[in-house]
Amino acid sequence: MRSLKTILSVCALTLAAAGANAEVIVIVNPKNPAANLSAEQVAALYLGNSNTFPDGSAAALADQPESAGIRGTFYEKATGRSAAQAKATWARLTFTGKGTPPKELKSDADVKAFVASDPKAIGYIDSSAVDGSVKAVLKL
Amino acid sequence: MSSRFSLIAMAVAAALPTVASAVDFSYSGFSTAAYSQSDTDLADVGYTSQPDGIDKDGSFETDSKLGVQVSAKFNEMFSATVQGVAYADLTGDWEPRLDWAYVRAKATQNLSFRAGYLRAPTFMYSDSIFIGYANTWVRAPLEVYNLSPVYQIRGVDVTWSTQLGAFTVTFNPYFGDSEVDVSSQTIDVPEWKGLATTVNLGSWQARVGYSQVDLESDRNSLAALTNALLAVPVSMCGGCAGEVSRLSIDGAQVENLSLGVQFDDGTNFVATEYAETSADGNYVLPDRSAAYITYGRRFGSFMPYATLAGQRRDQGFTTNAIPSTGPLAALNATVNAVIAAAGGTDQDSYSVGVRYEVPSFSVVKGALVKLQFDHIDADGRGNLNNVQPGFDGKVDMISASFDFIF
Repeated sequence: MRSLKTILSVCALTLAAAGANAEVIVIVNPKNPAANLSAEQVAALYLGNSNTFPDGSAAALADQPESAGIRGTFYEKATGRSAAQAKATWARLTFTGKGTPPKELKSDADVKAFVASDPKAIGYIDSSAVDGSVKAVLKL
Repeated sequence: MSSRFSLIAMAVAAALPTVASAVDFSYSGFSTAAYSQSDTDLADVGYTSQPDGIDKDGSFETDSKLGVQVSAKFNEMFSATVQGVAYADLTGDWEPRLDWAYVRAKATQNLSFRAGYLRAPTFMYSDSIFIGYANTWVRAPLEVYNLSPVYQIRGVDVTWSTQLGAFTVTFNPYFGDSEVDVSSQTIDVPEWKGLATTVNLGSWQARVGYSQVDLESDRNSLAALTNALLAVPVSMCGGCAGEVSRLSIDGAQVENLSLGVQFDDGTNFVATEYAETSADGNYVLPDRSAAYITYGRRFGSFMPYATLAGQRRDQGFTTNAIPSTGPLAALNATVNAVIAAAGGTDQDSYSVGVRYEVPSFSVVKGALVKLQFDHIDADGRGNLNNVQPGFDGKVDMISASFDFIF
């Protein structure tokens, strides 16, 4: 019993530590000329105020699933808004024909694959998932 | 309706040659189930001239909606969108209508053109007034949003955004025609033009909207009166003939102006708007101005909010063109009776409410519950409908809504 408790508490501590250290990385395709993006520039894209990168080229946005914790963290840190607030903003844009919401993908791996395959793409993933197939442009 | 559908069929057919093998279809929708009840039977809260609205018996129809949207993206440039919405129209029927149906051409990332059926951006939230999920209130403040009853335009619009330093400026001119069924008649809008200009900077948004709406109507319920006015010799009353055009909406040109500011930093939400409508002294469409301010503060999933709103009638209740004494006194009194019965009067209101974000579930991508209390204080009939003798101008009202998107 005692050892089970120990294991559980170690697990809990590890998870807490992972949660504290988890960083959200905004990624773009390696062909994207932008070396980095500011949180304001990312917020403008993900709140529908802009649909282009700083060089004026079109952006294709990827989102994480509703159930993923990273989605809330990303919106809080990049836009200062909750994921729900961003959704209300996109509802207004969608139903007045002013914008198309980010494409919702299933996981870090799917977002990474989407961004790696499309020069216009932008997404966000956990720092542990970043590799050479994509370019990190902002750490949140 | 059939002419509308054939127009869409033509638009879609015109777009078809550009259809590549992979047309990207997307489906989405929104809905509001709302119930409201007031404390009086002597006046109804609702949209312009609706024969039925919110009173002591309660109403599910006034604010409930169901919208479904289908978009087809043909390529990077062309797309088509159709949105059907069921709602209570100005004749009081709750039924599905084709609210938006347009083809969009995106010339560049910052310049796009649309043609078809659109909702005109007359006031700050006019084009999204049905999207309860996107709005703070159960319903947009009626003092402002009841100033202009026509929403849907058939025509073209342009959206052009440009960066001016730190500011994003968006110009949205639009042009077209329209018609609207109200309970007593069908109003034609042979020409409608406007421009909405929006400036964004971080959490701030400022907006100026201006539009000109020409109105025509076949109905002249005041034929006896206007014939009498036309029969008066100019030597007796120089202004009598001129009063005829002011007694009918036929031929009237309405100008709408709206100035709005919105601030939203994620925690604090402020929206304020001033609007005025003028039809050159028309008696049936009196000049009015209105304003509201809403403040909301978010606490996690909860946002309590409060709104103050007011509407003023900017023109009087009497004619100056017809002598009030002598042989034309009776005519003067008749015209004054028409003026007194037409159009809105002053009204103030406050409302408090809370908006709660419900965790999403199943096919519901996002949902809200809103509870709102409104107190209306009208001088006379305000902009209320079905006002009965004995009404003291005061209405207390509670509303509950469930808004979701799918």
